[in-house]
This record gives sequence, C-alpha cells and structure tokens, in this order.
Amino acid sequence: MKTIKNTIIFLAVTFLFSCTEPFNPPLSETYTRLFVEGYINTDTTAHEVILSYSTKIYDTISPEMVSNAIVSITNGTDTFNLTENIEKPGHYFTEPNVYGISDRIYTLKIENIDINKDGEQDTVWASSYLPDAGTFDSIALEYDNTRRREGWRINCYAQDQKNVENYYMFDARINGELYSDTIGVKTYSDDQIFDGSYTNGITLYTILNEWPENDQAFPGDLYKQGGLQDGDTITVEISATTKDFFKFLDQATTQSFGYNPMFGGPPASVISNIEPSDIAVGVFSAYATQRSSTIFKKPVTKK
Amino acid sequence: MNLKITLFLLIILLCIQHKSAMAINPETAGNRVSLSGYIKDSQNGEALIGATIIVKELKNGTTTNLYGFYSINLPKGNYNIEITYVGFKTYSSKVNLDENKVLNIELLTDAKELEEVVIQAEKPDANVKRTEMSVAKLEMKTIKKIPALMGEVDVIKAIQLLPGVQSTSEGSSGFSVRGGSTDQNLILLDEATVYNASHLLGFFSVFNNDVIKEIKLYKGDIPASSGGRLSSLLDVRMKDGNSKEFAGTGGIGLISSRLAVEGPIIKDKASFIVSGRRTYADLFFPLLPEEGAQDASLYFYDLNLKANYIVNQNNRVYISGYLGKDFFGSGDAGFGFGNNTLTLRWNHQYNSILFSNLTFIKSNYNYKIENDDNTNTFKWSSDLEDYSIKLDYNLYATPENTIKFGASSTYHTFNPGKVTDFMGSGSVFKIHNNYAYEHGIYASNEQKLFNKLTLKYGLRYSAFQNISKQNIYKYDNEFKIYDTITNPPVKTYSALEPRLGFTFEIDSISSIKGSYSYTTQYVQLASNSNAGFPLDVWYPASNNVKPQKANQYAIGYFRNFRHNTIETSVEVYYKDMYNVIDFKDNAVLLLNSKLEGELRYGKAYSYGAEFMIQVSEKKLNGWVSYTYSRTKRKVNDISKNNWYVAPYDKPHNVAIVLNYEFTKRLSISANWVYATGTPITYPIYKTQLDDKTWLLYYSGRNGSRLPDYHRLDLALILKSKHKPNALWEGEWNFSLYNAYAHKNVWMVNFVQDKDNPNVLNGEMTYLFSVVPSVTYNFKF
Repeated sequence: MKTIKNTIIFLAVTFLFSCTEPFNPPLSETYTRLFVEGYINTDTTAHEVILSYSTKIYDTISPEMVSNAIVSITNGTDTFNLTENIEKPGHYFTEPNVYGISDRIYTLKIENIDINKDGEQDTVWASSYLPDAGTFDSIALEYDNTRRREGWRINCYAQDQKNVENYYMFDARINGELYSDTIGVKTYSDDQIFDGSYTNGITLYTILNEWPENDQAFPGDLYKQGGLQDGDTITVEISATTKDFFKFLDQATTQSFGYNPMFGGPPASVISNIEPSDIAVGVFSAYATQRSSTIFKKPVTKK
Repeated sequence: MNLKITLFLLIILLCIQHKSAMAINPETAGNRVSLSGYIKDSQNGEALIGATIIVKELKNGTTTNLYGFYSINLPKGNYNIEITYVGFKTYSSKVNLDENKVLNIELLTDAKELEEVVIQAEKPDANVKRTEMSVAKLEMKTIKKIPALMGEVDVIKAIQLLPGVQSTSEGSSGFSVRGGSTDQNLILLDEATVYNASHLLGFFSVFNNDVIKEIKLYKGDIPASSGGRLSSLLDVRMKDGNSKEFAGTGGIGLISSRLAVEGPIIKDKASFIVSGRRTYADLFFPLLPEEGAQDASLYFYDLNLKANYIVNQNNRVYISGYLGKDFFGSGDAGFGFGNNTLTLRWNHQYNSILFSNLTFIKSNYNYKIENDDNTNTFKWSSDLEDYSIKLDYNLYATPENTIKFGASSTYHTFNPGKVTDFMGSGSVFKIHNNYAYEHGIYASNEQKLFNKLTLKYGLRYSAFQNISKQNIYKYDNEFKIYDTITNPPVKTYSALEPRLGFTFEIDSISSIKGSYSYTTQYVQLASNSNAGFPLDVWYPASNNVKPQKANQYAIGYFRNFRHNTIETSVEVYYKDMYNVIDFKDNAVLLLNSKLEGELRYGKAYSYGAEFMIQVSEKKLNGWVSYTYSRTKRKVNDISKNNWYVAPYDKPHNVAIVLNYEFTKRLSISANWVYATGTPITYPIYKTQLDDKTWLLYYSGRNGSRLPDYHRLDLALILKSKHKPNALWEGEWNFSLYNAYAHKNVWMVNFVQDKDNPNVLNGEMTYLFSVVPSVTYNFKF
C-alpha cells in the first residue's frame, strides 16, 4: 500500500543520488536487554512469543535465544501457558486451540529469567487490548503496467467504522505461505484519512513481476519466484490492531529504511510496551484478524 | 475586534507623528533648519542605503535610510558637507543653510571600486563607527566572487561563511545563527517574510543575485522595528531598477540560466526590474544509470519583479513581487512547493525631518504532493499565508538623535494539510486551519553623546492572538490527552521587548560595542529535520504552545589597521532561551491533527566568541573568521530530561574567504571551511525482529558527533577585455566545489550485510565529491 509516507520515501530515494562508503564509528558502551516479540490474535492456533537477548551493534552472531522461561498469557478469565519448542529455542507457543477474544485485555508474563546475569530472577510483562475486527468484504487482483514495476495489485474492499480510530495491519499469503513476513515490506494503516469510508479497491500489496534491480523494495512490494501461476491462491489478512502496535510497525518500518537527515528527525528507539523498560524491550500485541482469498487465473492473451 | 486593534494602533501612530512633526517642524523651530534629500548611484539611479553625510564643522552627520533618504537638522549657517559611500567618489560641497534645503545627490562611481571585493558597502571606518554590532552586510559583488556549488552564486551560501553562522548540513540553504534553529531566522525579501528560502531541497536559495541590492544579517541586536524570531534577521532588498537606461544581466550555467532586465519607464521618475531563473538539470536524467532517474522531473523557476514611481519629492511608490516554484516528480508521484510575495510601499516625506513608509505585504508558502498511480491516488496540499500592514517613521529630530517608530500587524492563515481524492474514495481529510494576528508597535532612538559615545535604545511591544476555533487538546504530564475544549476563546500573548546598545569610540580606529535584546517568537516550524524539508509545516503559539523567548547579550571590540583596509573584530555573546521546542522521539509531524502532542518544551543556552579579520587591499580581499560556540538544551522527556547538545552545536568553525586579482581581467577566489562534526545519535544495541530485521536502540540524543567537516572551493574568474562604450561585457567563472574531494559525512546508517544477515555494517553517505562547473555571466 503506497501511503503518503511511502510516497515521500519513494521520492527521497529517487532524488538522492549520493555516494556511500563503509564507515564504522566507535560506539558507546552497550548493555543487555531482553527482547520480546509476542502476538495473540482471534485465530484458533498456536500463538507465539519469541524471547532473545539484545546484542552489540557490531556483533556478528545470531542473538542468544532465551530458554527455560515461564511464559503465560491471560485475558483475566483464562490463562494460557506457553511451551518452548525444543527445536526452536526461545520460541514459545500456546496450545493450538487457543484464540483471542475481541474487547479483552491480554497480558503477557515472562518469569524465570535472569536478564542481567546478576543471580536474581526477573519478571517481565506487557499488556495489549484486542480490538474489534472491521468489516472486510473481499479482495481483487488488478494488473498494473503503468509503473516501472509491473505486477499484480491486490486490492481490498472494506468498510471502515466511522468516528472510531482504527488501526490495521495487512498480510499477504500466496498458497498459504506468508510473503509479507518482514518489516519494510509489511503494510499497515490508520484510518485518519478515510475514516468511515468504503475502501473501494485500495491497493494493499503488489506482486511484482521482477524484483527491483537495486534491491530497493517499498512497503507493499512482494515477489514470487516465477510470478503468479494459474490456480495460485492469494489471501489477505486484515488485522485490527491497537494504536501502540501501529506505532511500533510504523517506527520499525521507518527505521528499516535508514536515517535520513532530510526526511526525519534524530534516530530513535522504536516504541516498546514491555515492562520494566530498563531491562526489556519489544512488542506484545493482540489483534483481530479477518481474511479473504481469491484464485489467480492468468488472463487469456488474444492471438 | 482584532482588525480594530490594528487600526487603532495605526491611528495612534498617525496622531503621534502629526503632533511630533508639528512640534519640531524645522519651519517652526526657530533658528534650526534642515538639509535633506536622496543619495543615488549616478549610473543607474539606485538609492544608496547607508551612505554617510558628514557636516565637517560639527564632525557629525547621518546616514541614508533604506530608501536612500537622509535628513539632518542644523542651526542656520554655512557648512561643508561630505557624502561618502564605498565604491563611489566622495562628494563635497559648501552649503549655505539659511532655510530648509533639499540636496539630492547622485554619486559617481569610483573606478577603483571595479577592482575590488568588499564585504561592506559603507564608509571605510564603518566597522568601528557603525552603531550596530553582530551585523554583517553583504554586497552582491562580494558574493559573486565566492566559489559556488554548481557555479550558482548564492546569497545564503555566502552568509554561511560568516562568523556565528553555520550551514545546517552539506549544501543546505538552512542556516543556524548563534546556535539557533533554522526557523528562528526571520528572512525578509523586500519586507515580505520568506518561509522557505530553499530551492532544490536547499542546494539553491530563492534569492536571485541579479536583482538583489543589499543583504544584511542581524545575528543579534535586531532592531526594534523587527520581531517575531529569536535568532536573526536576514533583510534582503531588491534593486529598484535602472532609472537611467535599459540594462541587463544574466548567466548561463551547466544546470541553470538566468536573465534580468531593468530600465526606466519614465526617465528618472519610474523604473522597473524583472528577472527569471530556470534550472534544467532534469534534462540530463535520462543519462543517469539509477533506476527511476529516467522518469524523474526536477526543476525550479523563479521570477522577480519590481517597479517604482517617483510621484514628487515627497512621495514615491514601489511594487515588488516574487514567485518561485519547485517541482519534483518521478513517474506517477511528485511534489511541488513555492513562495510568492507581494510588497506595496509608499514612501512619504511629511517635511524635511519626518519620513514615513507604509507597506502592504502578502506572503504565501505552499506545497502539494500527489500520487496518481491508478487506484492509490491522493492529493495533499498545505499552505501558509500572511497579510501584513506596516507603518514606519524616521524622525531626524537633531543630528544627535534619529528616532524611529512604527507599528505592524499581520494576519496569519495556517493550512497544515488537506488530503483529497484519497484512493479514489472521494473523501476529504483536512487538518483544521489555524488563524492568528501578530501585532507590533515600537519606538527607538539612536543618540550620540559626547562625540565618542552613541547609545541605541528601543522598545517593541508585541502581541499575538490565536483566533483559531479548532478543538484544543489538553495534555497531562505524560503527554496524553485528558480533555478537549471545543470552540475555544482567543488566546493572547504579549511581550515587551527592550533593545539596548552602545558604541564607544576609543579612537578613530577602535571601538567597543555592546548590545542586549529580548526577542519573542510566536510561530515556529514543525521540523526535526537537520537539513530542512519542503513539507514541514509552520504552527502558531496556542494554549499548549507558549511563545519562545530569548535574552541575548553581546559585547565586542572592533579595530581597523592600515588605513581601514584591515578590519578586525571579536564579539562574545550569551543567549538564554525559554519555551524552546524540540520533538519527541519518532515524532509524527506531517498530517497530524494532534501535532502539539508531539512537541516537548524546555530551555536552552548558547554562548560563543567570534573572531574576524577582513582585508580590503587593492589586490587581495576577503576575510578569515573563527567561531567558538556551544548550544545546549534541556527539554522535558528528551534524553531523560538531561542537558543535551543542540543539533547545530559545532564548537569550532573556521572560514577563510579570499579573492586575489592578478590582473583586471583575471582573479582567483578560494574559500576553505572547517567545522566540528555535527551531533548525531548512534545506536547502542540491537535486537532481532521477525528473525530477519534488526531493530536499533539509542541512548541520549546527539550524544556523538560525525567526523569534522572541511572543504576547499576554488574559482577562476576571467573577464572579457574592457572596451570603452562596449554594449556587452562577459565573464567566465570556472569553479571547483570541494576541490580536494573530501568525503564529508552527511549521514550514517547501519545496514544489514547481504551475505551475513547477522552483521550490521556502518555506512556513511556523502553528497558531493569534486563538483566542477562553468558559468558565463554577462551584462549589457
């Protein structure tokens, strides 16, 4: 979805014909923080929380994953304990029959960890409200050859609630595989500009025919090896999220494009809702997900 | 109500001036009579600003005002009058002052003037005797000799070479004065506020040197007649137009060309000047290898127009205007921005000692951004518009006193943003307009005492009324909205702003000067960009946003050597600022209806010392300056409420600007600049999101610095052979920007390694290596 912000980023990248060189400035002392990435949505599935430690900027190793933590999620009525996947250290899952319920507050609790390695156990927590899902009609594919980046647009038809601040995250799957799996590609939006409107074919993603030569993708740019084939199933998930999670997505996306003194302020840490903030950072979000699919059929070329 | 206040102020002023004029009308003031008139350039009829009129018997005198007018009130008698102006032959005459006399003089050009480069257009000892301090006056012939980026000589780039003034980033037209933000500079073009002085994202300024007569930068000691900004006043005056004969100037460069034509409409009564510029860099884009460059549009144009008419000795009217537009486009997206200004002025001389100027001003800055890629369309526009009226008086009461007073009122309309045609939905999103009045009334006097001491004192009373009817959000200590006020009452702020200064002449070649000023700023720019960005929006003081205030104290020692051909000065200053504004981390400043929630408030201070040596020898001209300065802020919720360095804190600054004339045809210019690295915020650790993306975390703001900045620019200027009565004169300007190709770091990012995603590599970006250019300038 080429939002206003994306348009500005696009113009900035186009016009700054500048030169780059390796440059590794000396950096200040660092310290270790727990990083939490956890989600629960309205799907009935095994919901995941990932725990890892931060690393120094110039470290060249994968982050250390946090094992043996006691992790739970509660909505005040039910408590779901998460179990660490033996094959994926640091990845904790609920049972597969768990689902989130709209209009409830979900609280994540993490225990049995020693973040500072000071011999004392730390407890970390975070909360998130699970909002109501909106009204999502359908999606449609539309071929776009008007830009340099040709491809199939995934257009969305949905009704936004009037006079309610709504925040959306969009995901795209092709044949069940999540393609919008990276910050910088994933799209999201608030409804500030189209509050209460029917989004009559708003473009969420474009499945490009070719990956950009300079490897510069923008939010919403997807690429499937070999292009779309007859019978491919394209699914869009629209998730109603909280304002805080929208800010997290927005700030993480902005950061992924790099700091630019012309188009932004001083670089800053992305927002975190993990407490206590002096030992842990990250995101825990609850959201309501709806989905719609369509099957791709190659247009018949006239001979 | 507000209009009534404005009219009331103006009527009061009119009454005051009539009473004053009657009270000290020289025709009714016994033995005293006056000598008055206009001083002009004999070649083109341009009024000379700041020309000195000396009464030799009294060792006293006056200077011409912004319109070339002077008046001096004296006892009846015979006097030897001398009129001087650098670059012109001194005019001397005996005057029998037995009654009020008008003496209009056209000074002849001094042939020597053509050979030199000077920074000041005043009398040779002005550095010592001028009552102003912290002021730099630049002439276009000075600026034209300075090597320039892409050969495009630029007023603001020249200003950035002065002590106490810093460029905000490489190639930018933004400048910081004594540690202030870019929006703390009041930039006036023929009295109209220019809200964005940049073209091409700052690589050019809006000022076309062909139509500029004078540039004056007040780094402090801002006169009482001006207000509304904390840090500086950049006063740019356009030429009036040649009233003697038709003439033209222009230039053809690699990426832009320009042409200015001027001439009399009625000889010696009315004249005009019109000029235009256009860049054509985008014509070369199809040759660039970068993706997207082929579809890109990138250009600006601007037009200046001015005309004036001398109705009679007592009345003269002017109209001047500016229209500029930038456009950037790539494929289906693009944005454009521009300023336009209109100034109407009426000079009126009530009698020989009272001069007035009534000005009506319109100023507009606007931008729009559009995307039209089929379904994802939108059109976003924003603008800021001012209508102002100003009335200024100069009262030449006695040779020892020059009194200035006046009033002004401005009606501001802020349109922060309107989005239409979003995604073809037909919906309209608009952030409500803000409306405000800004008033000022002032009086000041420049008083000479004991022949050695001159005092300058003034008082400005400013008032600001935010009359917007949009909702006001009330924020708690954590900056969360806890209440909303609908249909709010008018919010009014006011301030008394004293301005004080003195000049003590130790002897004919040295003096000490001091000044104090209190300034208030009611409108500011929502920008946390270091480089300045065309989509930034201005916003007014309101219930949540209190006016910014500053006290500035400065003292300086000024001394000339070698018959005033070498001028030196050292100035030290201290500035404390209140209600200063910074922006929270990850602030959202664009299209944000709750913008005030992104602002953070605090205090700041700046101090520094500025050293300047300026040479105006026959062959060698230029200056060397060194500035030491520090600026720190303490703003709620930023850097854990600790003091942190301001974005423009660069402690050490050196500028060397020299021009050497080998022959009358050939000269070489060079400037070298050095500055401590810009403050920057570096990350301290990283975490991994979605198994792929690194998130960076930062500690305090501006805790580190980029490497130091330095650059050498060179220019060779070759003039055509001088032929008497030639109708055409040309000169070639060959220049090298960043001659030794120093890679000055513009920004630093940490980029994921393509081969090993666990690795983040530091990467610096620099904008320019060596940039050669050639420009052909001509006049006819």
